[in-house]
Amino acid sequence: MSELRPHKVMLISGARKGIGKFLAEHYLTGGWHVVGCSRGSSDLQHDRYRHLQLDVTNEQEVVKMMGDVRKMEGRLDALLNNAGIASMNHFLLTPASTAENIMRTNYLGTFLLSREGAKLMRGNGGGRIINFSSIGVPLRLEGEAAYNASKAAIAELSQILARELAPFSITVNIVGPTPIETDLIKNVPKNSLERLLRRQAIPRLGSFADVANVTDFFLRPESCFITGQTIYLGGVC
Amino acid sequence: MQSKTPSPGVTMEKQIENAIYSAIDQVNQHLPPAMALSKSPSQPLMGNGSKLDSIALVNLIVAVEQSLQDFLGVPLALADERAFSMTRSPFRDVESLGLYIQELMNERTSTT
Repeated sequence: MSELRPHKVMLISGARKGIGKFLAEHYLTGGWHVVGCSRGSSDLQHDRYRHLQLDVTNEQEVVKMMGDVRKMEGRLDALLNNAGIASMNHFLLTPASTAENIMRTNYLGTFLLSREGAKLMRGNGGGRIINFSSIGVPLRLEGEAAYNASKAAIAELSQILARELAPFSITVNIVGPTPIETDLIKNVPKNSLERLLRRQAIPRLGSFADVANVTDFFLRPESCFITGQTIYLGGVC
Repeated sequence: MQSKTPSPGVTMEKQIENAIYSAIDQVNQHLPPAMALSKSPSQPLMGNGSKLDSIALVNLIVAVEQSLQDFLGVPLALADERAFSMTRSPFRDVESLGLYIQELMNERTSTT
């Protein structure tokens, strides 16, 4: 388990369920103070866990939330931009509203949380931002044009942030999970999923622990020289 | 981080000035003495006469945002679209920054 310093504070977006909730529990076990956020409430109970409700695409709400984190915790050491939505559809049948919603939640949410989170990290001498992409980006999966475009935008954003935030000792890296048993893939047809898995070097579904293994690595103090990097799971490159 | 309680009777203008000066104190801690900013309305922050490089200016703007939250309890993002589209940047000196913050605060008050 990674250790940055005593009383380290992590913010995880999309922490109400799925990977976000698992990571919140994982890092609580590791001794972190964890602030989770999502649009809905959380049933996670822990004396070092706080949950804040907001829309990550609303700039004012994000600014206010980060102010609340500063008041409550006084610092931020790590930000895991896990919140995301997906929609699978043929490009010719994808409504503009779907493309816009996906881009707002996945890209704009990551943008706003990173910007305000980095401001807080600057005050405590540095930190770690970990953004979430997908193996769909290098595989250029059909039916995921809007989703993958938003994830590709996150990768580009992260690589530029890695350079702009390096003077503040903030690293920015990306984890690209394979499909995992979450709500995000519940509507993906079984044959499509099997076809996708066959394109991985290791053809199986990922697990929450596989993701945590990568985030642990990026959070390690020894990883302070690693920034702007993407690690895809399942042997996809 | 410690919030400061505004003293009764202190004008918003004065509280904003205090917030900016507090941020200048913070930024000066990381600048060589010859580069230190003075706590004066005419202190240049950008362009000709400014001693700040781009990273130091970013640090100052973020420190002012956090200071405003401490002094006034208000979360503000100073670098909004308007700030960058203004012909004369509100970040050019301490006075213009103070006036710009006051404008944002007035707008905030009138919309809440």
